[in-house]
Amino acid sequence: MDSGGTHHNRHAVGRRASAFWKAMLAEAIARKIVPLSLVPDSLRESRLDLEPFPVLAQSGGQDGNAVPAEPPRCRIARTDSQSTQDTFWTVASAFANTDAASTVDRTSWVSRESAVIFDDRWMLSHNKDFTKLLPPEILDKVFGYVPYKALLQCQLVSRNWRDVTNSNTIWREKYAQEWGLSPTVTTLPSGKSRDWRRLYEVRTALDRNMLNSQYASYHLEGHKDGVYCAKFDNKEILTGSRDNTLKVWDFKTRKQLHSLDGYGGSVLCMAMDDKIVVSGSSDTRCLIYDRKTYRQIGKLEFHDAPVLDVALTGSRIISAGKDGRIAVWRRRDMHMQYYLKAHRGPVNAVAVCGSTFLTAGADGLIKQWSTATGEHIQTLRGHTRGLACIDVSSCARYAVSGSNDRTLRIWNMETGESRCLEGHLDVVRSVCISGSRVISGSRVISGSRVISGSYDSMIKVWDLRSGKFLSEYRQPNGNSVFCVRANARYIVATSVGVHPTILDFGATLGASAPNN
Amino acid sequence: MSRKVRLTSADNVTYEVDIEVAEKSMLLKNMMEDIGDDVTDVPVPNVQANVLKKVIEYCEHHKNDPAYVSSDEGIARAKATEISQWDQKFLQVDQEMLFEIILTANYLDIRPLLEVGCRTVANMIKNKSPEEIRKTFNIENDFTPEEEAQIRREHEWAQDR
Amino acid sequence: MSLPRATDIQGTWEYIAKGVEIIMVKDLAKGGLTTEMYMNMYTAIHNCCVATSQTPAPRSSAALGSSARTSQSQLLGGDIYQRLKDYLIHHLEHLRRDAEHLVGIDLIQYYNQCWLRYTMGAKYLDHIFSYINRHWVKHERDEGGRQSGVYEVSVLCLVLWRDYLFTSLSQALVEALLQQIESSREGNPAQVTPLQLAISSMVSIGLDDQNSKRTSLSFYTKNFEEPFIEATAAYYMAESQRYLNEHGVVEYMRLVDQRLQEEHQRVAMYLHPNTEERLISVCEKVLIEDNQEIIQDQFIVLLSANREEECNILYRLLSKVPHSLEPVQDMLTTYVEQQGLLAVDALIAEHEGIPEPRVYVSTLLKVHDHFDELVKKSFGSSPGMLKAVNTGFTTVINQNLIARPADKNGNRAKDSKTPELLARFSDSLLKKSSKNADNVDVESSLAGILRLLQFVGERDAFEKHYTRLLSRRLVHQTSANQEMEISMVSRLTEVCGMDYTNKLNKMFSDITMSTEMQQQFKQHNPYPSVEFTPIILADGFWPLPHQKVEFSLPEKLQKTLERFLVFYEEIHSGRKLKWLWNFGKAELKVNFAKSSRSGYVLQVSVFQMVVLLLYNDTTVLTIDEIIEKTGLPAELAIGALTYIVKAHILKQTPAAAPLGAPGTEYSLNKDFKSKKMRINLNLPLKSELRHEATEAQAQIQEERNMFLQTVIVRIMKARREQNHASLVHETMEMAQKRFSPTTRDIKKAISALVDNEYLKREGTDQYVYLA
Repeated sequence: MDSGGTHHNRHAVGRRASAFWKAMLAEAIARKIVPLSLVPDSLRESRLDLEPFPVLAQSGGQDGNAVPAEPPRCRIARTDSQSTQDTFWTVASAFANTDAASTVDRTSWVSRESAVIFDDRWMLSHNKDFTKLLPPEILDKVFGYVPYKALLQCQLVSRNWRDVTNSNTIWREKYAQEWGLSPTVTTLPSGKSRDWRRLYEVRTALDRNMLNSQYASYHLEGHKDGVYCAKFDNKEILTGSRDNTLKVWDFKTRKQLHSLDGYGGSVLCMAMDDKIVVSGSSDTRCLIYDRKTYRQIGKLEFHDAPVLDVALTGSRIISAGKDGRIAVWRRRDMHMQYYLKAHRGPVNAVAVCGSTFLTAGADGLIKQWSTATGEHIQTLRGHTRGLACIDVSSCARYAVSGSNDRTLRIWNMETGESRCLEGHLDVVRSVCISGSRVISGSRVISGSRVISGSYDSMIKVWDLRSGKFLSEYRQPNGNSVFCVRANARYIVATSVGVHPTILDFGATLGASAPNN
Repeated sequence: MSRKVRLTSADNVTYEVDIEVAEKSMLLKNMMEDIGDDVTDVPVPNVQANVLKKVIEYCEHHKNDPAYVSSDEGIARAKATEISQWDQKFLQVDQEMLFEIILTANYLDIRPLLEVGCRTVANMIKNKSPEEIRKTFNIENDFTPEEEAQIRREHEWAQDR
Repeated sequence: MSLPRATDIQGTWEYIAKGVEIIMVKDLAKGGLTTEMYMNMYTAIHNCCVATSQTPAPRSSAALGSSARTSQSQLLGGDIYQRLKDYLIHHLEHLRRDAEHLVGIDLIQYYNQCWLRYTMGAKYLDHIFSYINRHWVKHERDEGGRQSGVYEVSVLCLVLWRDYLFTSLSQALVEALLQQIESSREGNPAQVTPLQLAISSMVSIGLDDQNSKRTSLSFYTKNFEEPFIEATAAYYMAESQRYLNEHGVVEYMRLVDQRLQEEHQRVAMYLHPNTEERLISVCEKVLIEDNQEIIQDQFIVLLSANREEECNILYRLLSKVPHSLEPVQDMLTTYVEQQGLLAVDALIAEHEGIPEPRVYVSTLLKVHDHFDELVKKSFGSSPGMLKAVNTGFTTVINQNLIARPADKNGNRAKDSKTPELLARFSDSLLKKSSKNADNVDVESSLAGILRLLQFVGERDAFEKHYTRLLSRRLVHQTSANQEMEISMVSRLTEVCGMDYTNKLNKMFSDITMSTEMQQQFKQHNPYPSVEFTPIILADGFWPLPHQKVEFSLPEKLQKTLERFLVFYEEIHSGRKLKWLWNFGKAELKVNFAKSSRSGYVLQVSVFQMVVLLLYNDTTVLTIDEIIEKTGLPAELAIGALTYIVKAHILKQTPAAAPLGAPGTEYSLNKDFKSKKMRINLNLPLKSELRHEATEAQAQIQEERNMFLQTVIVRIMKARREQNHASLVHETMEMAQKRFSPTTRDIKKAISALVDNEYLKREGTDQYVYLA
């Protein structure tokens, strides 16, 4: 044990502790609980001067009558030897464990000062560092319940505590509590496990940045006219524009990789997954490209008006047109399975919701249909004017829609009820839900967000569960926003202007920020 | 008149309890399922009488609770669930007993008790400074000043970036 | 035995191993594993895993930022896990060796026995080792994901079983199972339980790669289902060939039926329900589809022999194979056609010529009923078969010899007579006649007509004739039952559409209105010298041709007529009335005969009336005088005279001369005698009737042409331009409901339009609409 030292606390503890031990030992010996033979020779030979304590009331002092007036008297010299301390520790524990100890009434030591001291020491002798008592699996559980700030404090307690609280399992749990665990997050492709603590901190920083508007912004250069739609994943961003092209950009370098120009009109909408990207155009057709080679692999012709939105499931493609019709196509042979006359007027947006899909029309209604059969399931009413956009959470329990009535609505898909979010000053043209996952019953992790973009040039961020407004950003040049897409780290926004914007909230964090 | 079963602690103290009470422990439940109906005496090594007594008290009180549903893969227990009044009072014991109860709940596989015990310990930890934690658990600070300073720096960096 | 020291892995394992041995091998039933042992085993494992908490954690180096904490307890848990795994592998090896020499049912029995014992033991192990499951295994799986290769003990047992026992035995085992199944097909019922157990074990072993809690069927499918399906296909292929060669098709069908039943049962007994679909479809393919032609060929034989039950089996079997019923349906259509046409031919032969419409209709109905029944009984009222029957029947109704009689050269008439016959039949039913059939009879007959009407191709022909005959009935007031008429019309709505029946209804209302107006006129003119009841008809709704006839009406009648005109003008000013004299009739009270004192009442046509009224002034008139005095054209006068002379009201001199020849004279026959008081002279001439009918037919053709032109114009107006083939096609489609135009008809119509400059030809193929 280090001698001296500048740490004040330790001194005080040490001083009080050794005096106490001696007192306890004296007491124990006096009461014949501990035979003198147990006391090590080194102590007996030292200037240990044991004077018996006043004897306590035999009954254990419940009525508090037996009240010796004096604090423990001892003239044992303080010793700093570790082994002595250890011995005392052992003896005192033994003392503490016996029944005799448990009948001692602590308040029977009258002088308040001494009572306090006794209390403290009593606690001290009983209390152990439980990290040495409990197996690691239980420790992980215990610390999993400790909030983040407190965990940081624990790190400062001792080396052992630092190691214990650095356990990956604990940080995995903390991450799950905040943001849920999706399969993409849990395992790295290499099969190695993640460093959850680092992940946690990075994610917290991202959240904070998003709230405090700390970001770096970038532009994509190359389009010659407004950009109507965009989608991105870990590797690429795809944008569709009024200049009749669909461009593919590398996400990291932001360089243009491909420009696809088979369109006879503006590229109004797109949907993609790992294998294909489907895009709809104002020339009434949908073109399908392979995502590895970017060769055209299909063309869907059916609508006789511009195609306003498209969506994908594993086996089908859904296209919505200005003619008010929805066509559902089979992916494997690109044939139309059926079509619906869905709304009065154009169908502006369509989104997949589990085994069903939602259509949002200019007639102000959202309708839900079974994807396999085209059967109508329900109609959601609430918006007072036509709808412009719709998005569904990955757990399929929530949907968000934006409308010409300048509001967004968050819909609970099970109950059909909605919450109305106001704040935009013009039509809400695009919405996106980022990062939601349902765990355990009906609880939604509170990290889920809604990002909305409007013709008033603002991009607003809202909390999904509470509907609370969190922060907002303005599109440069006051341009009307056409499309917003987001994940935990990035918001990509396209507008009437020719440069889509990327807002990176992890710019200050360095590489390896999560993308889910 | 439900079946009874006798649990004997490591120090040979026997407690007789109803079957439903014993079945709060998954270990005992599985065993009785496996071995069959004629189980009457169950030795419980590893557990001292006083701890066993406390644990039985818990099971008695909770014997009519619905079956414990642990959340999917242990992920995301809700961040703040209250510990019931009774449970709180039940766990107002000295630390040693508390840890023994936790260990026993882990051993006997009584999940609700294990959880509530861990929460209690967690509650003892939060809202305390490192010094206070040390005092509570009698821990020695074995950091060098440089080490401590570095950790603090790390924390600041995590908070501010 | 006291618990081993927690830190002693080997000791712990040895302690546990005894218990594991009992669990896996020894007899558990007879208290082989005591409560004490159970708890002790669990405790030993628990202590081993928790042991490290007693030793202080190794002091970590000053290097900060060390994250993942490796704890000794995790290594210990792994050690025990590994040893358990080794034990199980060893155990399984042992089992496998014992099974090596077994085959057939013995192998299956042994396998099942081992499986049961093993799974029971696995459950115990899972519970006893649950501490490792809860902590170490979970940790490894969380950190390592799918690649960790670590499982909960219950799953581990299954995985090891699969990898170390099953894979080596699988071939022999599956063979044994297939053998058993084949033998059961041969007629030796198999023991259900062993098969079921063995097969369900394969389902249990199939673990989902992603989530070890779920089973996926792919293992079962690959190892058992596929060989099974293959074997089944081979077996049935052989059997079907053999059976067809040895027995007839009918017997074969029965066999197939039976076999399919069997296979369904087999699935229920010991296969996994998932297999059912594939199994049945393979059986259907091999047994039915591959032999479908042979079966189809049998159909006609069965049908002609009226073997209803066999037809049913055949139908049921073939309906399982898509598209295989189509040839059958075609055969049915042909058969129906044949039978129908034969029936009509027989009818002609029987009656030596064209029979009454009534008989014709009832024969057709009988044919249809017969086949309707057949479809219901043998073909499960299948819509496809029904359609086949109806198609055949349509041909019968439109193409039979009565409908299209052949002329001397054997050429068949172009248009079917059936619509006309139907109309005439309904006319006869609705007309007043001496042989008044029962109302019910009439009802059912009319219903029969409507039924047949659905198959008639040239509906417009029927409509035309029906309207014509109806108008006659209304004008001549020969309807038997007004309600029946109206109900018939409403039923026609279904078949012919509202447009048509609206016209008919207008005719009815015209009559009603006329009756009302007649009342009004009577009131207006209470004491007429001549009773005059005009019927006012709306022009265009009535198919009554207007003949312009100039003749002189006797003065008395003229006066009445004028009075009526004034009266009518007051009510409906501005309307023009055209008198259809050729449809008018009159009743004359005559008193010229000696034989009767009261006289006779003659029902005559207007022209006849005009002629006869001349005889008020004289008793003899020459033909020329008649013509001059009446002002009628010659043919009409002669026509009027025909029946008058025939009825001997007037005598012609010379009698031998043809009627109306110049110089003939006509005198009142004072010797006229008749039994009846009322004599109807107003009979239509046969030639007239015939003439009317053919004229109607010609009109039909004309109307069709007009219709085609209208349709074409409508199409071109929408499309603006169109090529020849599609235009023809579309026109054909639109006209189908009324009649089937030929391409030539359409071409003719198009040419007419081009000539009239409604369309313009462009290039070789296109037409352009000219506004």
